[in-house]
Amino acid sequence: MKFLKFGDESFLLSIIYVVSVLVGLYLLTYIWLPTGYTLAGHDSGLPLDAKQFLSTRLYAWDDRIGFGIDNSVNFGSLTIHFIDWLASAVAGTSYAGNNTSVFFWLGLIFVSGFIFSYQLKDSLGRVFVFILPLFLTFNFYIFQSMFMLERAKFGVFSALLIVLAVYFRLQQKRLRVIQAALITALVFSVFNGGGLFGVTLFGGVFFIFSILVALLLFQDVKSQKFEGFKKILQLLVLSAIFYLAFNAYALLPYIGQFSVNNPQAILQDSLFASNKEWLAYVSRSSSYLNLFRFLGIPDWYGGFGQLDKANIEHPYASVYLDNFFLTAVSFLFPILSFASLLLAKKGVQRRTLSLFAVISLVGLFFTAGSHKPLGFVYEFLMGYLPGFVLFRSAFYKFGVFYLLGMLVMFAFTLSFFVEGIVTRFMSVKWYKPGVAILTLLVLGLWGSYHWVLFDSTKIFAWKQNQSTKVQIPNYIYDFSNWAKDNDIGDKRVLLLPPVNKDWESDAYDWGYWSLSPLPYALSNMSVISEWHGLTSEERALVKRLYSSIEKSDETKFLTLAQRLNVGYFLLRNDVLTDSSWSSQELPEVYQKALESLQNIKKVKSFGEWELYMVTQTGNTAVYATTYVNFAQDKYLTLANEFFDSGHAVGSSALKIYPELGNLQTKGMEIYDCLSCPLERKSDLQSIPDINILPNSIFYVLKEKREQKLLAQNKDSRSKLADYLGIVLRRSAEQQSMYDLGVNEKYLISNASVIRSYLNNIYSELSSLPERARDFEVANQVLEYLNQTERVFNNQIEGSDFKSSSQEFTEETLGVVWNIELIKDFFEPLLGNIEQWSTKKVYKIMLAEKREYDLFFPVASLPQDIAGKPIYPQSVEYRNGGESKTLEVESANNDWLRARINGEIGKSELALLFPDLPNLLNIESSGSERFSFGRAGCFKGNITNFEQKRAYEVRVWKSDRLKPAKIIFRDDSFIYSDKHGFLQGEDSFEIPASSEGSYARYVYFPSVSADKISLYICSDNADLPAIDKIEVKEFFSLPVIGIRGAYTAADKTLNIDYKRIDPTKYEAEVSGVQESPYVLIFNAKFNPSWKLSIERQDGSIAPVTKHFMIDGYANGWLVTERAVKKLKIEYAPQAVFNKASVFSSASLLTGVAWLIFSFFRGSRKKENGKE
Amino acid sequence: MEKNKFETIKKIERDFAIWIFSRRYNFVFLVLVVAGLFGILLIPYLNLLINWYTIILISLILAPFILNMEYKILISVSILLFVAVFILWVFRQTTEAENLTEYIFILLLSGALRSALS
Repeated sequence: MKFLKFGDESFLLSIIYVVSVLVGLYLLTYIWLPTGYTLAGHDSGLPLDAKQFLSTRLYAWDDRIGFGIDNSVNFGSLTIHFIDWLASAVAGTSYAGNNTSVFFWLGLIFVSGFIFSYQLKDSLGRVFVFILPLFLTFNFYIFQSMFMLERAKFGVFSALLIVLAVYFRLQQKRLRVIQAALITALVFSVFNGGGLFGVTLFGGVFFIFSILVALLLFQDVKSQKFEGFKKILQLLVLSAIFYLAFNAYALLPYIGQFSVNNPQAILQDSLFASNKEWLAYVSRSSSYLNLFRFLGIPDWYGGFGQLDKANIEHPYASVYLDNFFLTAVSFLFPILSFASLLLAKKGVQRRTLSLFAVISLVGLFFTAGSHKPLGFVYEFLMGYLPGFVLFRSAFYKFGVFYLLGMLVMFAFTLSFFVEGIVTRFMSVKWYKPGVAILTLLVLGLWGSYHWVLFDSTKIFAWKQNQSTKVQIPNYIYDFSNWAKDNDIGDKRVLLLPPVNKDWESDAYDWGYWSLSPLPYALSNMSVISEWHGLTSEERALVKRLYSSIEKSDETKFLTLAQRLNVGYFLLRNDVLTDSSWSSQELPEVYQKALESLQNIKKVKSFGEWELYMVTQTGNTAVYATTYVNFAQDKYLTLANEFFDSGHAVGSSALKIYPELGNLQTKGMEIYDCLSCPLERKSDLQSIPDINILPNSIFYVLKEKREQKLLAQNKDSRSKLADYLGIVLRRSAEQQSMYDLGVNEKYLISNASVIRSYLNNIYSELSSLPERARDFEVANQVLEYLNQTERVFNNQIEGSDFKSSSQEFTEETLGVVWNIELIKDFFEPLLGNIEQWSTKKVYKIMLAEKREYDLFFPVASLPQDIAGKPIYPQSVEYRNGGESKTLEVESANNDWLRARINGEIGKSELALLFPDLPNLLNIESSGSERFSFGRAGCFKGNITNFEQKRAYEVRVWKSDRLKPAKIIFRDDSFIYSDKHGFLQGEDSFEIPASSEGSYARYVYFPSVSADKISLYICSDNADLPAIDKIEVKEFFSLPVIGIRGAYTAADKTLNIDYKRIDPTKYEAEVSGVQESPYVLIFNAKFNPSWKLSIERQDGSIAPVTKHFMIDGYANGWLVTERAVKKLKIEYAPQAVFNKASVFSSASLLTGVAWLIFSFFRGSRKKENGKE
Repeated sequence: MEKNKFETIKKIERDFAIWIFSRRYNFVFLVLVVAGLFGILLIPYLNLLINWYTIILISLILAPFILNMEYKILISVSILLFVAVFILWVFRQTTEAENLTEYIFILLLSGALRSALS
């Protein structure tokens, strides 16, 4: 493309300018990052071995971290990592974060900015061309992410600048639509935001082109000529088609994976709710005033309520925010920017500047996120526009695009002044030098204002004392090279000590800090630690492996190491251990433990790093087993801990493939305590949100749906559930109507319907009298009706209830009366509710007539005053009419065991405990300060308090006149630094009780609870009038049932496998193949892993019975008896291989056509045919 | 001198009156549109999406189109208000300065759209 005309004087000047700036930029980046220094860590993704990392991007599966991870979403990042590798090759380093890389990306923004501004030189002036590119390159919005060299964002921003230049050239009819579309697609294919994960960076591109389309449409409608609109539509459609063709290699492999990754998740309300808080945090400083002044960067400011202060952790925020002069200067930016609209003389100037004014103002709205005044619109879009939730970091996604609009206007105003001053005050002879001097002055002033951006100690720092600029010690490369030269098989390397437990960060004393372990950016070894990418099941297993090493538990360690395919241990003595927020455990602890283990030997030392290996190794990557344990899917983590041998399979897999039951199996069941929920407070803590109330015209639709639901023919239990749900929803409507003061007739009518439904519930219950003893039904009914009762009781207790109409009073009391009747129905269970604190009842389902072991965790038993467990007095088993007492023995330190033999069907188990001791110890009494004044309080503590336990408080208080309450206060926690009034993490208003009875409250400590004290307080200076108070442990003991046993040896086959690449394994099978077996592939489960077998006769067949093993790995049920060879492949890889051929062909054709069309165009021009 | 001053004022008044008179129907239309927007406040559910600020925003975006106003007036007023914002900020009235900026945003958007679409 000929953007520039040779022979033009301005062209020469432009070349000198661009080259000078690039040379200056290179020198600057060299000063920032001299030889030996690199940017690494944090979120940068800058590899320490760029070539090796680039090679991993060619595979759809990355097995170098955790248990492997799908990489098909990252094929698009090939371009960025190719540039990383290119920069490392040019710089002669193995790491990507060198000065060449920084130079490339900053230079790219500058050159793209120049190309963009050059296209506007005829309309916005020549000085503008020299000012804008440097403004676009050196500003706080670009440099806020310089510490991690956010290549994806810089790339998309640069691509947008080039594409806008192409668009303007198209408008000037200096390019054909097809040429423009090809360039657009090419540019966005290279600078693609780092693949599909970077799609949100295109938000700014999308809104800018939407504005262009809208404005063109409006103008064309006005002029009745649709030339401009048609052109941009053609450009967009063709660009999209070319883009899809060029990027087929990145898009097609992920399509299959997309459904695996639960795409519906981005539509879920919960996702919006969880991201709303983050959006609010990011947007807290994005006031329009801040943004107009090119400030508002979230990292610069303190938290909520401290926005007037600079963030003291930020390396340079205080330089600006706490400096009156610099802040005052920032007011010039919006004034001068928007003054451009007044200064524009020519129509084309005004139109161009107006376009960028609209871009900046719409961009301002997006950048501000949920900040007022239009934040609610942004939140609305997040809540209701599918996929918009991805733009939760509003400032970071839209900030630079907003700035583009502002800087175009700002640069124009300055260039206008420069040209105006020179024209007015200087002679023609001095025109050019004058323009040059003033332009340099403008650039100098901009640079002076942004002076901190030239200081490498500031721009690469992401905290006051933490920077991504590091000097990498040589020994880590020694390790990496050793790993390349020595084949360690497919064994995983466990990192010691583990990464920081709170932040899951990997930090080193030489300055490296990252959320992914360092070896991931360094070598092709498969490393494992408690990384945040692990699932809970995987994390539990890895945790247990660490624990077994710490405890030097040789047997457990070997079992787990084999199960997790861990063959090596990398002990890093240079991890950060300075007790700071991201420090890790001491390496010495693990070194000592490793040396105490028999089956471990040291392989080699690499400076501060030491590599150990497990001496007992075998094939634990691809193998077969006939031992399988079953457990409910949600208890697989526990099952992994529980079974001593075999692999755990979830019950859902058994349901899909019942043939699994033919293998040698053991099963695990968890029996929940049925009586426990009767004691505790309801799980339903609030009534549902209601949008449409009975007084709405739309309510008729809701009623119709309700009638339709109730008219369905269902079993009694489902019907009961329907009624309960509707009663709860209508109760919520009743509450809302009451609060909003809706006309009473609607309240009466609604209460009447609820009452009729309660009658129906009672009839359903009474039809089967044995339900009066059914814990599950009782729990369900109480869960719902307690909420309803609360709603109606609140109305009854309200001050205006007495003045309500007779009809309303009757209906309201009628509802409460019906609820009481239903509760009376459950008299056998609720009559003596205290009994359930020492009697725990379980429903047990015995599927087969065989031996069952029942296990009770000792850790969940209640404790006595001395902190010792209180064992059950007896364990009673009842099946049908028969009842017997089971013998309980100690299985080991952690479990009690009871055995059932020869029973089948539904049965009941009851654990009977002695009366629990009172754990409350009243220490003192005195007066405490509240906002209403001083109040008399008793202070006590709970003996042997443990955060993970729950406590029941029983209070006998016959005095009805004096209120009292209990506050649960954590004495180790500072509730406020602004006042000293008594506060706690939970509280309970003690109601008066009739003689002999008591009020009760179950206290569940928060996760951070440490030293809990109980303050029992009155509301005046007197001590509270309570008769008696007790605190007993509230416990709910799970019971684990294990059935079955392995009666024969595991008929394992010999599987000799070979890893072809991370996505392909081939194996040869030998040995006995009499029975079906499970083939285990020790990589994270993904449905895209496919197994095919080659039979002895040479025919090939897929194995489709694929399921999850141990909560993370892949398992296939193989029923074929004559298998010769196996092949495991990750399906997206084949798609990538084919699609990349198509993409390459499309790309080559596109580029060839583009070159050809330019040659033809220039020849035509030369021949004067145009 | 005194006479000239009154004549100038009179001329401005006359121009202003002519400006208003020639747009009398546009004013009525604008009032109807704004009233319509206020009406949305009374419509259940729709009123969840609109508030005073958005009514002012939409009204002020429409006003220069309906009244055929010059965009430069809006931009000039915005720039003057930015100076006022600066003064407020100097006197540490940050909240007031931020509130005023939110209304400047409306004026700027209205002016920019008017300019871009004319």
